[in-house]
Amino acid sequence: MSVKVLAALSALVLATAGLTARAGEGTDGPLKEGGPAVVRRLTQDQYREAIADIFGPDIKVGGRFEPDIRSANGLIATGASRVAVTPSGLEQYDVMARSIADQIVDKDHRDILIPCAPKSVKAADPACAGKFFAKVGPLIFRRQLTAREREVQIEIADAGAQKLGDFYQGLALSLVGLLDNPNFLFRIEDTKADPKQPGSREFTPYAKASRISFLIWNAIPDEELLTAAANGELDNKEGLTRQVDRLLASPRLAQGVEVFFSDMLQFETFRDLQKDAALYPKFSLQAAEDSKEQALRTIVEVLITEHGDYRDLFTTHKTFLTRTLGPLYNVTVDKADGWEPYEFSPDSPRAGILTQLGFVALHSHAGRSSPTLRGKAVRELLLCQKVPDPPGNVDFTLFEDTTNAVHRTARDRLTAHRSNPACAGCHKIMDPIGLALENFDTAGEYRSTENGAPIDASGELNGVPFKNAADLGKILHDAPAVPPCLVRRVYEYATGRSVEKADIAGLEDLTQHFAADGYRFPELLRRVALSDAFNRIAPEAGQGTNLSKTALNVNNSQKGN
Amino acid sequence: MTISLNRRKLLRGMLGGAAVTVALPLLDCFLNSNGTALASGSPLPVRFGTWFWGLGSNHDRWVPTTVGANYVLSPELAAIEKFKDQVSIFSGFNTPLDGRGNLAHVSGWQAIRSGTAPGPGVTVGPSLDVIVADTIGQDTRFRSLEISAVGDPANSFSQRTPSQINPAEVEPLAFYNRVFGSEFQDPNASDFKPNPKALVRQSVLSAITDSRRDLLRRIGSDDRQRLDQYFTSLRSVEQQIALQLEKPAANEACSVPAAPQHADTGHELSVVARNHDILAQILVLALACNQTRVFNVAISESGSNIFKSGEDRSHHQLTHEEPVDGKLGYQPLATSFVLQYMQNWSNLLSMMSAVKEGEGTLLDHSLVFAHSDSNFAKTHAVDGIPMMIAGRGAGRIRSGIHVAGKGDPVTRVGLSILQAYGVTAEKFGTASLETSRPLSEIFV
Amino acid sequence: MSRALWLRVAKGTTAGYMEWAPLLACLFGIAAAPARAAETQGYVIASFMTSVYTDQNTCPEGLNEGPDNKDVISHIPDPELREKLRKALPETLTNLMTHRGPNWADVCHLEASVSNPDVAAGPLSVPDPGMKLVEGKTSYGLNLDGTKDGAPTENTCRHEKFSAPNGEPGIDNQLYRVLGCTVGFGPQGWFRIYGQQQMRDGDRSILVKVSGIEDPGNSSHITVDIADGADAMIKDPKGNILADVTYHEVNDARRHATTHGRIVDGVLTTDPVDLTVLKIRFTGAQIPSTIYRARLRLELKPDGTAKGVLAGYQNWQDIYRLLVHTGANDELPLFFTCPGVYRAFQRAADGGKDPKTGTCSETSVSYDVELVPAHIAPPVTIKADLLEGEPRAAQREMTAVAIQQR
Repeated sequence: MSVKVLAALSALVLATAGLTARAGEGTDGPLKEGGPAVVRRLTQDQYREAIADIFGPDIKVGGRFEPDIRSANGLIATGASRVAVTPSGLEQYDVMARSIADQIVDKDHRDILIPCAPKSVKAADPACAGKFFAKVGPLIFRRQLTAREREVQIEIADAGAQKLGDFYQGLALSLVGLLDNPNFLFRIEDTKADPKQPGSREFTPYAKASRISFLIWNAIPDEELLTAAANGELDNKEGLTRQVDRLLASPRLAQGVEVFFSDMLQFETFRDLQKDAALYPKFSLQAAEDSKEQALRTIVEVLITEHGDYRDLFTTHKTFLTRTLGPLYNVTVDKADGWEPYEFSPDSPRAGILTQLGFVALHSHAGRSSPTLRGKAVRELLLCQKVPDPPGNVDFTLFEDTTNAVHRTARDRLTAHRSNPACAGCHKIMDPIGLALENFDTAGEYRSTENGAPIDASGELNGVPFKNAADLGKILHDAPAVPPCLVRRVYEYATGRSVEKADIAGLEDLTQHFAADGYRFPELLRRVALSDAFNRIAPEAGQGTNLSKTALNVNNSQKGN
Repeated sequence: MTISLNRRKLLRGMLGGAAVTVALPLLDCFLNSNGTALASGSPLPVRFGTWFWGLGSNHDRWVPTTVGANYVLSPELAAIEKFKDQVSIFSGFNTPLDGRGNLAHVSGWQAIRSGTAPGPGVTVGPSLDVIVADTIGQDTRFRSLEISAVGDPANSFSQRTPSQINPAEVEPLAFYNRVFGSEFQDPNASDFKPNPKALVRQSVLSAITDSRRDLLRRIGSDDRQRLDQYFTSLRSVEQQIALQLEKPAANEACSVPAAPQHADTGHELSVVARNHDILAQILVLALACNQTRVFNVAISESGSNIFKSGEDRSHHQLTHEEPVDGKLGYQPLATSFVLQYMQNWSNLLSMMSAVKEGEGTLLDHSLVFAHSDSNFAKTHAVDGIPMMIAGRGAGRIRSGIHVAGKGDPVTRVGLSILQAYGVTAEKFGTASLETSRPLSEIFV
Repeated sequence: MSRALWLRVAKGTTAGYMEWAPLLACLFGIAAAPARAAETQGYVIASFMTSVYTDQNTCPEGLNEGPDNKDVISHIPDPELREKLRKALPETLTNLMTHRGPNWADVCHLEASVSNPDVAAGPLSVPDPGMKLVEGKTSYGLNLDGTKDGAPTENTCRHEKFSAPNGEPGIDNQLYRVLGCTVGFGPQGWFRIYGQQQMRDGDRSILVKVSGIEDPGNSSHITVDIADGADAMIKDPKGNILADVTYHEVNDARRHATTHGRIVDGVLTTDPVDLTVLKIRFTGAQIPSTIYRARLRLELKPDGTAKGVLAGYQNWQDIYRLLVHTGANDELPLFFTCPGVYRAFQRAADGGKDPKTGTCSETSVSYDVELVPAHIAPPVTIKADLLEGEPRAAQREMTAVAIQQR
């Protein structure tokens, strides 16, 4: 569907639905409720953020977290609803929790983090312990503690203080009980029946608070949000909207956006990114780290700071550089330390995030570039089009040799892919895109020849021809599949589930509004956060029968631990 | 044979304040049928040690020519031949200094140990062994033990900060008295007191277990299985704590040695070599008796002042002054010191191998990190400083592998070590030495 | 200079007349119509070591020896002290050896310093033990005095010349003549490598900016700026200096020199200019030293790097101070003696002739340099204490006085 038609359709929808022209105005959408609630384990980022939010950034958190897992063709955010905690994982959480608790009660922190002093440091003080847990408990559990839960914490703190002859040690050990608790480690989002709509369930105010906070900031609800939940403000549309708008207006939105795009673009693979040092000496570990941050800074700049059009990410010449990245882009970077805004000239081959190291170097081998990997990444990450895996009996030797006199460029080497019928089906959809990026070697440096032969970066996508990567960026800018893919990812990220048939109507509606909103990302988040599909669930979904069989298989394999 | 512990009963009894004295010999009941682990699956206590020698080696004669397992032993490593499959070699790891300048005989080892290249205004933190001891040394009699073979208590590379150095034991009789003197608690004796912190931890985790039913009621059936998994994991952590509450097991490996004679200390090479071995023997027996889990050995200072009787130049001077022999391709006198150091290193490994623990040896249950201060001492080169790890770390690492660093920072080794010991560290090192990538080649 | 530009040169798409037009413009002050925009290329000096040539003819009498350890002890009258010292650490003896002059005088330092607060008697306080100089006829470097045979001129003293390895005659390199037969100064000599390593480990950077390049093969009118860099160099994992990194010049006119030059058939040469930009390291001493009337001659290579020599004159006493930092701890590893090398420099000095006395205060020097392409960003001001102090004029005065008083 061409952009023009889509725009016309949007206008039609807007007109018939009688919607206002205000960008990002929440509507309830076509779905009255969303899919089942899922329990998600905190990701590593979320755990760290939570500790920093509750106890301050001074408290050090480190150790081996149980790895976050990406669901098949999906996100880490959806994988979170599949993972459990293994014995060694919990052992590590416990080690971390004890380390955190010890820091909190140490002499440098206790006066700041504990709102009272015990009558005697050598004895139990249930009143002070109670005050401490009343303060931190709701932040840790992301809801009010029950009376019984409060009692238990104080009991243990008291018993500990008596046993150890030290109030603070008793308090610390009791605090560990909160941090090791599944109510902290897992997002258990409660639902309640909606008296106004029998048979229907909605998330409780605390659950709503948690959901919008993780969606927009990737963080636990702050005190203001928890208070709004307690006061019943989140029970109505206006109150919820107020909080959503507050979160969107905060500088913390950037953090949430970075986490989302890191998930969507699989940036965790930067951890292992390495190039052959003999061939690409400029691509140090620091360069790898910087190229990730460059991409994220560019994204935040376009989507938030400039409040711009998502599609401009594929064409923008503006970015940020460091001294380490300078040699790879072969430009003068004035700042000796830190980040410097940089704008490439309008005719520069560097146009859009696909031409940055964060894409071309990330999706490449250690020793040479890979049009196939790059093409696959565009298809799967930006267009949400899954490419099947290669057949098992492929002979790769012809393509491994880069010094073959006849096949000097990647285009030559991949000719066999495109002519061999077993390969062509998939390669036809990957290689042409990747070949557009061949002017960037595996380290992301610009080149016009490979092995002495000139590089031809031309091709076509969806019937539209392009000469080079900059042209490709323009085509992606206008490609109809690009916005719906983003919408889908946001929805999956928000709900923690891969999309299913029942979600499609809702996605289409969101996509139309996204276009009408000028493809602005904060507006998309707002719309999702306020939608019924996000805030309500179908009645039988509480039993969790909609989770796919794959989730069950994952659970079964973990049983043996 | 496994004892089924009724933890609830045990806990209530302990929370009530009564100390339980149960003599449970470690080997009989808690080893699994292979004698390789405790019956619960928790591993035997793993030790960590460091071993330092100054002035590097000759790269081409020290680095094995092959990479990976079954590496070909090089001339300067001949002394460790019988331990080759327990010693991993790390070559080609670099020490980026971020323009702070190469402080001769300091920058290299400081970068390896603390992850920071020193310089004006730069804060340098604790050394690796201190970080590990903070994690595994909390419940032994000594957090760590240090020895120096040249008789200088300041010859220690174990630091909380560069001005807070853990001093080294230098004289054998004094060291013996410290460890096995009047304050020594023999594990094979009959009285014992449990650690009260462990009791509290047990009640903490038990309270979480109590909340299981309420929790599961709130979630859907698919999610219930995953949360049940959590509670299974919780039980295994409870198990670990329960074991801590048992008396120190009768320890077959622990045999108290006879006191040594007083020995002079000094810088002459034969004196240094002898003192190293005497001190190391006492240290190994201290480890066997679980007096500590962390230890540090230095055979010389970083700019080794050791000399040979009859030769007027010290090792250090020789590295700068002795010409490279045209036929041999190295400095023969300077190199003879390296060969002696490697022999002493091998002697330490022999001593650790001689202590039987379960089905293995102390060396099997240890990880000893050996390294120098520079690669080629003549030019103070700090890239490619020779490093080794000996021992099997009770199965936490693969051993006997030559890993080529390809210019990666030296801190990758330190990070791998920290993580092997469960230190809460995702990164190690600062500035360009900062790394978050442990060595998957050795790190299981 | 971009690799694309090189391709154009390779394809021969430059027209000959363009070489002449700018030159004519220079001569007649006419603004030439540029055939293409003049380009600028920045470099950082990745390798900087004294030029040393060695073959079997260089030192036919063998290499120099340093001072002898045992001599120091045998001169001590007190037998108990002698015995004690014989058992002492070798390091103690070394420190002692610096003070082997009459009444324990320091025979190495020219003036007092932090590590040596007593006024030194200096290398002239003991007899000249002699020094073996280079006897070979070959050396790297440049013809600095313009003569064929080293005959005295208004500014230079009589001295022998070398021929370059490629046969080019008339090379002046008296620094090499004096130090070329010491172990420390040879191709693998410790101090050459030490200083080099310090620089590459981040001690400093030296930037060279070449502008006005019309054609990388031939440009008649280029400007060359040489300046101290404010940023440390970056190495790749193999230890080579990385190309295309950005460096800032230090914002200090004293650390900046500008001269003109030309490129002929890919070889760049510059007109003489005094350079005080360089922190030349010999041993541990860090003293600013000026290379007077310094010239560059570089071969510009297709991969963008450049290789050649930087030659000129340095005050020989400054060189001595760079060489002798701690005293015997320099003599021993480098294999020279303070009294020997001091006098050797004195005799070999060939530049900076004092019109009144006729004595030369400067020595011709040559350094091998390798340049790697770099981006040069505008100057930044760095902290004063990171710059070297003023040349030790005050200390020079003290030396002159001390030597006079002997």
